[in-house]
Amino acid sequence: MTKKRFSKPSPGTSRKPELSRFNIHVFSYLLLFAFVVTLALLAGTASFLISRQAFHSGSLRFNVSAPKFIQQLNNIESAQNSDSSATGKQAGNIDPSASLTNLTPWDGAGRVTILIMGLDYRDWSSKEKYSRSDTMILLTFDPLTKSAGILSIPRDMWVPIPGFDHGKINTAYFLGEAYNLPGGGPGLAIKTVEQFLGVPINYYAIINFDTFVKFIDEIGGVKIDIPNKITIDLLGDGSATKKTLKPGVQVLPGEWALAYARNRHTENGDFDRAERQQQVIMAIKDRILTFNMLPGLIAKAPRLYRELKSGIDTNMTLDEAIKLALLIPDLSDEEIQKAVIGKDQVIFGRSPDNLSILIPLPDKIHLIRDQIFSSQSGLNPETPGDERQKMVAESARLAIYNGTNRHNLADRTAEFLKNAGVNVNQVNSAPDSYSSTVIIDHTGNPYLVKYLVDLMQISPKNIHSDFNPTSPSDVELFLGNDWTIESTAP
Amino acid sequence: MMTNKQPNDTRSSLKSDKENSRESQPKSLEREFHFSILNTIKKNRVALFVSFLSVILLTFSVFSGLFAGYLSGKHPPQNRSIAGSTSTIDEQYQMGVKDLIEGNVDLAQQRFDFVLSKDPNYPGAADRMAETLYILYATATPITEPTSHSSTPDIVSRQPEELFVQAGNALSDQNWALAIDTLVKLRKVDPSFHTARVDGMLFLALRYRGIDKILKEHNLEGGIYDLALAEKFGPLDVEANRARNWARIYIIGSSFWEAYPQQAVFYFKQVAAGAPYLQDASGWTAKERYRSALIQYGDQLVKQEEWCSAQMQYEAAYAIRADDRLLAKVNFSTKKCSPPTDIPPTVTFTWTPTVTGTITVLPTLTSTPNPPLYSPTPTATYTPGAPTSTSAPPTPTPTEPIPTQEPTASPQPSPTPAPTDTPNPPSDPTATP
Repeated sequence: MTKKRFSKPSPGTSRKPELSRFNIHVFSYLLLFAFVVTLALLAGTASFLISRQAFHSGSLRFNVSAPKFIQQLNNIESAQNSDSSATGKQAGNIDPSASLTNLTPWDGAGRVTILIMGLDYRDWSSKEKYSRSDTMILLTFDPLTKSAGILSIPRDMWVPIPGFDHGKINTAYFLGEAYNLPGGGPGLAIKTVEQFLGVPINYYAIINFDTFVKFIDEIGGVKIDIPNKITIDLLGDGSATKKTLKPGVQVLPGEWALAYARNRHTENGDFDRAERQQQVIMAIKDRILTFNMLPGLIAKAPRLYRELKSGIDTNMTLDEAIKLALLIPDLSDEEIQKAVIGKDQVIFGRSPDNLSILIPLPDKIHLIRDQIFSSQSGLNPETPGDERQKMVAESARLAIYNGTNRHNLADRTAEFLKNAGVNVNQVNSAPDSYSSTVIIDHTGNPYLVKYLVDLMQISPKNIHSDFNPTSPSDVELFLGNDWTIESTAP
Repeated sequence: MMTNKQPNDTRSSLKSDKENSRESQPKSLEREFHFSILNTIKKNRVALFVSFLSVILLTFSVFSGLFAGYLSGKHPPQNRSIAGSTSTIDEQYQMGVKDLIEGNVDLAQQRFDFVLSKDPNYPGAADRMAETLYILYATATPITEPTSHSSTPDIVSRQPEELFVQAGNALSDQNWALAIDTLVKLRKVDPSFHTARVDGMLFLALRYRGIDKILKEHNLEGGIYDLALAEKFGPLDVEANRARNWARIYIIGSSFWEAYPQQAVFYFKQVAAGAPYLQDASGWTAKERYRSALIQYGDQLVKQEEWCSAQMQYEAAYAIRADDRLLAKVNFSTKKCSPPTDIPPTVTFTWTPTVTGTITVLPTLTSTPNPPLYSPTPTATYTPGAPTSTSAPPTPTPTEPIPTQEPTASPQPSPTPAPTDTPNPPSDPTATP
């Protein structure tokens, strides 16, 4: 039968063999057609990806592609599914786009703040499913005042993590990833830092080791002034990775610069390391500016972007990155404030599960934060002159009420203040008597209030604010028995 | 006969078949030839058609892929976000529901917040969010809706005059965030434009936004930061100072949370007395924090077998809010603190046949809690400008070595329970004999 099917057709034979042969042909064509369709789909997908990449002008937010981390990300779903029964948590894929929610977009004019994170190498190398953050640095630029700040946050800081109990700040990233929260690890890390410091964060960037090394090599290394002899450990295993750097100025290639920035084995551990990381950041800036590399780097940005994007995880677009990079030449070293939350701002302690933690001292941290974020903010007072000149420039309308039994006190005070340049627009008696002088600001007049508070020694507890844009006077002053014009008037 | 003839007939018929076959061979070849040609033509036609179709299909795929890639590449954030959000929204919603059921209210809130930010009309999300907030703030003051200034119209003008008017309007609308953004823009356009007035407007907006952050948005650090910025312009008023001070003490207390409960008790006691319903982003009110810190401290003392001190902490916590689990702790520590004495072997008493009066059973707990073990001097009375917590309580061992080695164990995620829940105590006294 088989033989017959493939023999030549003979006269008188039925049409069955022909039909069979026809079916075979049809089947072959269908097979071929299916192959072509598959090929077309593949070609379409490839074209889509290539084209998207070529025309891409948006977020760099792709999966971090350090080989082990790719594996980690790929394994997340299955791993989480297998873990979900144990942990009682539902899990799923991490959606990169979700991380773009809830962040304050940079308006292009005001201060911009970026949280730079480095992930824990040990988590990578030990193939942990989720990584902790190893480094947290806040970079802030103020385009208005052309100033910047760098603030390092130690990894062991004991802080409330939104949605969780208190924990070390470096676990926020881990928890965001492990619980598949909106925004993932970066989202929760940003929320935690925002809550901890009270400053809004616009962007984040997670840079993997390979990319860091590539970038440093791209700019020809970084010039570092090494203060003390230090032994660094290059990536990899074995004793050959140990290198000792002697004190002095040296140009370090990428791999060495990375090892220098990662080293924690010095006297002050994490705090020293934070300072070295800031040193490397400044060295990168100097390198770029000294050799006038910025135009070249920006020209090469698309190529660099293609090469480095796989190792940078950020919500910043290429355009925004370039816009920010263009601010760098305007920054002088004096205008860059640097700080590390260090030993003076924390208490060394132990967590309930006996881990080493750093308990923050909020008042001292506020001082550092304000030094970095407030001192050069676009929200600074800009009125020139001394206190009196500022008060006069403000020209706020002042109403004076006599809250005492002393005759003409309000009139005499008004006269005295007018002579000092105060814009007094109303003088009257107060409906009640006042034991101490009270001031009420209706429209926001800090200079007049400050002037009066200093002049009349008004207690802070007697300063009030009651916003009323339609008030006939900007500030109301109720004279109390504690005010004696004679002691102040010339 | 018949039997003999039959083979002959068969043979003859076979022969005739052969002959017929030989005769018909040229015809058969011809037909075969025709068939072959037809077949080839047919085959080629189909092959041609398939090839043509393949080329068309491939070309179409490549070009449509290129075009789609172009579109996607040109508008990636929005497109990816929208494209990827549908499944994410569903997923986050489902996970939020699960978290809500499991009591992980904080996580649920984050997830529903995300869902609503992506799709405000997502079925059921608003109800779930309301449910979550209800649980979250069950022990707090009535929920104050956070002011959502982010949805306000963008700043459109580039002219200083217009920006100035816009900022003024934003202030009148009490839209502090927009006012600040507008004024910063104005400063960028023309730093010298009405400098003193712009300073005053910034001061006002920062002051009010700072207070709103502390009291309405529960963003304590953010509020303190805004007030610090405002203070650079001029002195803060008493209300702003008070809000800042409570927020500050709350944060200090929070720094010691779980690690040093005694310190947490010290600070939260002050805030609970002065601003009991002040809360941080987690939704915990100061009062609840104080109560929970007391329980944590009591648990710590139980571990150290300081029963009477533990009893005081538990009783103070119980006075704030009672629950059965805490009652068990109170009873256990009370029992341990004052164990029943043995009956004396010789008891002499005189029986009085007539007893007058009523026997009153004293309740175990009184409404006024015993003073806590650690009673710092600062009181809850707030004096502006004079922080109440200046006399610091005993600080935890500051001589610990600097942590240089991270424990290898990965952190174990433990979502925060709703504030009404008692945080896991280290030991359950009821389980102990």
